[in-house]
Amino acid sequence: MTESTDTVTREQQALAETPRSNEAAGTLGSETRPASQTGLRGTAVARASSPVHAHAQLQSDRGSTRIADGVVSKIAGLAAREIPGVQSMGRGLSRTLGAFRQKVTRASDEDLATQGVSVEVGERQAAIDIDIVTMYGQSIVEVSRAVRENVIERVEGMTGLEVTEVNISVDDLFVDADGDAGQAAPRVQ
Amino acid sequence: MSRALTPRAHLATEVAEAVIRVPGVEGLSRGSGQEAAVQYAGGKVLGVQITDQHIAVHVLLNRLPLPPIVAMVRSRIDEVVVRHTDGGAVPTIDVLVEGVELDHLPRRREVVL
Repeated sequence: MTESTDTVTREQQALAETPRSNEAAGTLGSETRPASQTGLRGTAVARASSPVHAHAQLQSDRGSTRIADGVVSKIAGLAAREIPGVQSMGRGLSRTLGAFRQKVTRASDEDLATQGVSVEVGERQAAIDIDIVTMYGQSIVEVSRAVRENVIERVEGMTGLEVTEVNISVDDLFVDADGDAGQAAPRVQ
Repeated sequence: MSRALTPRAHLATEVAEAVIRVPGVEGLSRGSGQEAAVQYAGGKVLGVQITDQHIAVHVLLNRLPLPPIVAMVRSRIDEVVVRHTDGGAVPTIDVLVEGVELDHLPRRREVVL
């Protein structure tokens, strides 16, 4: 985990030194982003190109825009929770503390949005680590793919930052007391 | 907040709609074992799985024989996929028949010696 974070920091520095190295950004993105891997995602590539203009807007001749870590982690946390296969977020201890904090301080869900999210934000890029809990019966592959897609889309769309990587760790599996967790709440489209 | 579907969810929705319209298809199935679905923000498309090189649909049919229905399902998915890929790599398509729901079983012919 620290290893991957180190890589990003180095790459961010490299990009900061050569602001026009679009190729570097491209290869970096294709490794970490499933969206741009194959021709099947022709539309994904087309859509992902719009935030690139936004990157340029973050650093202008007449000033720069800085986005705080908390902003990115809040967006990422809410985006991950939008996926139906995500039961809750955070590691065991922080989940327990979060529930306790919510009872004691009557914190809203929004205040807990950043639970289970840690981010590293540079001038034009962001790397995101997410801890999720899914349900028994869900495909972890599918849930994490959907989380990754949605987090990238929301963060890039709302902040203009380029998301270099979304590392997901599945920390626990929720088992419904009634038996089949999937049957209990069918969300048919 | 915009609720635009991700490209994968968009493709999954179109695949599901195309498959359901095929005569002989009763519906899509969540699959046996782990849930077969494409998830997106705020929902999921049950019975369809999509990865970069692969599409799988889990169907319930209501008519026999199966091969012509399956062939029709496959060609409808093909049409949707071709529209989405724009000449890029075309994924392989798996059709999984999870069950057959018949009002009446085909009558067995008694063999009289």
